[in-house]
Amino acid sequence: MGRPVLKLWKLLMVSVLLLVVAGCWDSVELNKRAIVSGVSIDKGPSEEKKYRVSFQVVIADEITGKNSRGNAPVALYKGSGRSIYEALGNASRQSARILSLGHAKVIIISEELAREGIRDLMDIFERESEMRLSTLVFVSRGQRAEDILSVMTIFGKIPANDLVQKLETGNRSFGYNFRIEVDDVIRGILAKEAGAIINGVIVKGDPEAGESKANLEGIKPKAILKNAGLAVFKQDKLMAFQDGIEGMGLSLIHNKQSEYPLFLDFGNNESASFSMFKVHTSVKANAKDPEHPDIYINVQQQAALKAYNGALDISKSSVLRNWEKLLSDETRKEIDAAVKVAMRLNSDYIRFNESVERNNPKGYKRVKDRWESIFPHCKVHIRVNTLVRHTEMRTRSLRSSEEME
Amino acid sequence: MRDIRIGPVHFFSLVLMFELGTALVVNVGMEAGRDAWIAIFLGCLVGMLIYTGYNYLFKLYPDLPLSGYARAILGKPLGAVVVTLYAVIFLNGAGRDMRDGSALLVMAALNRTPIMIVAAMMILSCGYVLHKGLEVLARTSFIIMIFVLMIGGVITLLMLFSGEMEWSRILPMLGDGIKPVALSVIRSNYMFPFGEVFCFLMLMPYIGDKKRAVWIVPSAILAAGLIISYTALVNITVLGSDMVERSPFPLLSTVSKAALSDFIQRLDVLVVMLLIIGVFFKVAVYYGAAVIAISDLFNLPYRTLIIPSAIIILFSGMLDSRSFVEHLEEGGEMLTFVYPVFTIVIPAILIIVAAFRNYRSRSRPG
Amino acid sequence: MKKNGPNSQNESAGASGKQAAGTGNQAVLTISDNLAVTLENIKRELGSSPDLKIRKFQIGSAKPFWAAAVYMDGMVNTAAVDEFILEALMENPEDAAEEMPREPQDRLGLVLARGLELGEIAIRDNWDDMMLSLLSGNTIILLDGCSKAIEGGTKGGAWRTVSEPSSQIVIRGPKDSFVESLITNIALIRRRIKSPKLWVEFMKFGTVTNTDVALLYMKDRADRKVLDQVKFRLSKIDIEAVLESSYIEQLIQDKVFTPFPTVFNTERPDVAAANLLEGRIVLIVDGTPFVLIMPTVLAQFLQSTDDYSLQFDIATLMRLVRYVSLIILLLGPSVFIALTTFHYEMVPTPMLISLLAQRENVPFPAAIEAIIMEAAFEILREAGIRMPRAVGQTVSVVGALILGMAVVEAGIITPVMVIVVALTGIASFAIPSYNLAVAGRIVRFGFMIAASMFGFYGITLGLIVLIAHVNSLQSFGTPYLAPFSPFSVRGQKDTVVRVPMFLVNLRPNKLGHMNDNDKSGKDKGTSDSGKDGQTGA
Repeated sequence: MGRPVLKLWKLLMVSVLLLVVAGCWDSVELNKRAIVSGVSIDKGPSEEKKYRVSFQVVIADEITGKNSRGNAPVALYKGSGRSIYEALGNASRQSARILSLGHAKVIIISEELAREGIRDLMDIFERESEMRLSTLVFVSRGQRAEDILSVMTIFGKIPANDLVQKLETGNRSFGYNFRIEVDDVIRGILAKEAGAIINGVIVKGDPEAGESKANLEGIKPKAILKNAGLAVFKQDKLMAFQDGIEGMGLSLIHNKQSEYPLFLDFGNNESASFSMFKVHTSVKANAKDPEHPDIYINVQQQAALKAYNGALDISKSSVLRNWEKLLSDETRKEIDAAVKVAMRLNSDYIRFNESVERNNPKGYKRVKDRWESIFPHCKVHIRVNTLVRHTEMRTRSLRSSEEME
Repeated sequence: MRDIRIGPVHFFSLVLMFELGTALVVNVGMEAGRDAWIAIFLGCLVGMLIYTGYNYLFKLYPDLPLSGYARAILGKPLGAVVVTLYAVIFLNGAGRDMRDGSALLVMAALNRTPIMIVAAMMILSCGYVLHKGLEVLARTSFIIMIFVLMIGGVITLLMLFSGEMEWSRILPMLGDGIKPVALSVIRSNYMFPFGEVFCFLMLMPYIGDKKRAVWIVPSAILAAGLIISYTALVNITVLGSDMVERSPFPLLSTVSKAALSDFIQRLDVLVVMLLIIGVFFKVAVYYGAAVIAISDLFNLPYRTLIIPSAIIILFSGMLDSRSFVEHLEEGGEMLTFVYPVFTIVIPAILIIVAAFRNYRSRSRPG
Repeated sequence: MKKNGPNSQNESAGASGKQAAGTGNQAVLTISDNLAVTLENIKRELGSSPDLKIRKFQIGSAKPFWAAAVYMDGMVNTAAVDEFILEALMENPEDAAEEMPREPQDRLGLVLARGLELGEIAIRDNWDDMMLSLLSGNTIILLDGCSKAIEGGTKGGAWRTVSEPSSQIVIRGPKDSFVESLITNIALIRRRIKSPKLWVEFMKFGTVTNTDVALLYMKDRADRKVLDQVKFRLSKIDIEAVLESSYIEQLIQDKVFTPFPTVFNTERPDVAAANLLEGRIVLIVDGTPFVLIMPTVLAQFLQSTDDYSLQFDIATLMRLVRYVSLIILLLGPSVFIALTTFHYEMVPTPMLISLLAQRENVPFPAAIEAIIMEAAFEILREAGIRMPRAVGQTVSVVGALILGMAVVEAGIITPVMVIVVALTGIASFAIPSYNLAVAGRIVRFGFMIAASMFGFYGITLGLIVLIAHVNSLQSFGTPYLAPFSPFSVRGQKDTVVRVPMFLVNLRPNKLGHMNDNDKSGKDKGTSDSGKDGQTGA
């Protein structure tokens, strides 16, 4: 251990420290940041202003309430430009703080733009290290995307969070919208033969009225954010929105629906409502002949009786057996509807190609470039297995009890 | 040099941390697409195969580093030339890895910090640890290894519970046949990171337990291969092979996908820490190997060489290219054309000459 | 000049006595056979100190001669002195005349024979020895006509009595602690280890203070190498004064620039005893209740006696809490700084919004804020220690509460920062060893600076360097991080986890040395696992 060596070390340390004291390059204090909770992208009026981007910025003081001035909890900064980044720059110029995208929860793309193609939009969301891949993507259905971000919401003060929560709660039991994140969209666009699926969203009611606090003053809000259908794409171009049974079928095929309601109408004013749960879907292909692949969609599900208006004695297992069959048919109908639409649009957003590739990689390679012509002619076999375990807290219905008397 | 003995467990951890290095976080073997994880595993087997050759040399000269027996086998002048080449490649390796790491760090986290400062901090830390000695480095690697494995465990659990992994994304396995996989292995995979184990030619004589030494390095390579292969698997199942392929830093994106409700999210910092740790050990081992080679060759004391070497590494690493892209291009060429010379060609020559001499000296009296 | 005074006096006065005084001014005093001269010399040398007590008396009735008992007031056990002088020497006036020795020099034998009752008796013929003995609290008996002094072991006087430990408090466990008296301290240990293998070696340090130091070890358990090393380093000590064991600690510890303590200290006799049984070496310094234990490892600073008096599962939990505390202490504020100023995306959104709202009107950057608060906390803590005990607690509590609240009210500091700082402060108290806590507190500032400059990059590099640094430390040849590194399975029995008592062999594996350690550790590990298996079966 030479002494001079030690001294040299100290010298080096000191010089580096001095160097370092000169600046803390990446350190940004929190009160220099504006936290962006949502981004919306609309089509601009001209080529110079191709994109019109709005950033929903959280005003922390208004949310925690201590120093609240009683104003809106979020503010919208807008900017336009030839690219999203340019628009971000233009928007930032109006803001006193750095627009920070690290906590952006949602990206909303207007339908108009989505119909023209979203490929060029998505790159920045993937490339930017601050952004999360887990940001949710929406398409504003028939409305301006910025309208979605400017609705005062009932629960929680940040509209973007409201949207996220609605999606998650909905997906858990009733809705067919499911979490679709940036990387899901990108994978959809990347798969050449297929397309992306994105949740649709609308403002129900009067979008103008939703902007001010007046929206929340009455018991009936004038405007409410609502998930609306699944936007299906052919590659990166929006083709259609799917609601109702098509939407549900689509969600089922993707195995994203763990619970959903079904309604059986027996005619004669008799009906039964079910909640389907433990739903599991698998898609397999038999592609010995890749030109004419067979697709097998298997659904396993259980049903819980929620309401029954009918005279049948449901303490008999045969009745339940029959219902199981009917329920399976309903589910099959939904899936079939979704498949039909996909085939009609000739966009394989239901990912049959992946099943085929898994089954016969070499064969798929041959037909890969022609998949568009093969996909609409795939034979689809849907098998649904439903199980009604019990009839919940009552056996006979009110109606059948009356009749017995 | 003083009498240094590194325990088997610590040597294992040092090799493991070195192998994991940057390979854990960058995309390895993605030429093989969704079969990258197979390619990595094969590369690891090739790495072990290469090591068996080194083992032969180690058995012949258990107490000498490469710089010692190269001169013994090839004769003083030629040996000195070879050792000098090795010293240069070690310095270069340290510089390249330091550049790799600092560039990734600057890309992922420290956008505005000058890369030179990031690199200087790194090399300074390495220098400090090496100043404390190789043994300290090895023992530190052991503790850090436990830390790294814990991070790995956390990430794995998070991935499992967040349900982001979709196993169907790795199917069909070997859908395009074995060719792309083999190609990926041959092009670069066996060399990065497994071939880089040639640094340990300089460190192997310091293993405390000579008997068990034979198994330490291969088992560490195997462990590293399994871990990197597993990481690639996770990346692909979460992101899909297309996305992994386009990402210089896929694990970061993968982990950023994981979230447990609103509470645990964006654990990418853990990945950044993995990167820092990996780069640290990679640089430190190359750096240490270089310092030992130089001190052995010129008979200079080990510690006085630390600062000059650090300065060489820092500047050579920073000046070798203008951008990260250029740096990666260069790296690809190095991996295919330069590194094999040092991992395979020269050791092979050494083995052949040594075996020949051995054979002659044995047959002469017998 | 002062020293010259008595010497020159001595020369003239001791003309009749045997005077070996040199002619130079560095004359050496000797014990004169003239009692008056000797007493005068003592008085002069001590500057007629008022606590020097001289009692003159006569011995014998037939042919009495003068004797004097000299002692330092307050340093002797008064009862013993009385007994020694009065009962042993001054009594028996009807002693037979024939017993009286003719020659003055033979009187010594007589007095010795009588005075034996006291037990601890020695004869001093060297002036310096005699003075040292006198100053150590012994009573010196001087006989007229005799040039030797009798030393009676009457050390005593008022010491603090054995009381509860003040710094290392346990819920359950022995409640005694070391005191300032060396002998008492040794006794406290001996009472716990009644074994002939417990060896004690005495030595003196401090050219001026002449402090007694005892080296204790178990003959059959202490590592020979470590013992030699300790003795070697002790022999190199050159110091004027030893007032506390830390004086010695600083002189014998491994010389590396580090904030971490490499010598363990305790004021608990049970801890010292346990460490002796584990083969460590204990050094007790007279005048301080803190004894030194070496070699030590980091894990030891996180152990507490409580761990052994509680059930193993609870003890393990407590240990874990302490390790976590250490980590919080080291990294708490720095991680907070890194999170808020570098990696804001990692903070969950609702929390981030609340942080943002708090930060809104705070003027300082987070790093400065943290450093201010930590410094304020250090001041509070320091003030709390220095204050009289009754006030101290109030000051720290009131200070913390009021300062914290006011600072938040005034908008100078964010509330979260107060929480973080308080948390690290509390964490530092959870660490049983004050030395380690202080080290952690210092290192913490380094991490804060690193984090404020590079975020997690700084923290990670700092961690690696810290681990390497701690790894490079040794305590008398024992790696500081043992048994984590070098890793030994067997060593883990009593680190983070404390295994049940029936599996704990009080004697841990040999802590070993840097170099040959790994192999032996490994061998030990394997042989031990076999043994464990047997116990299990």
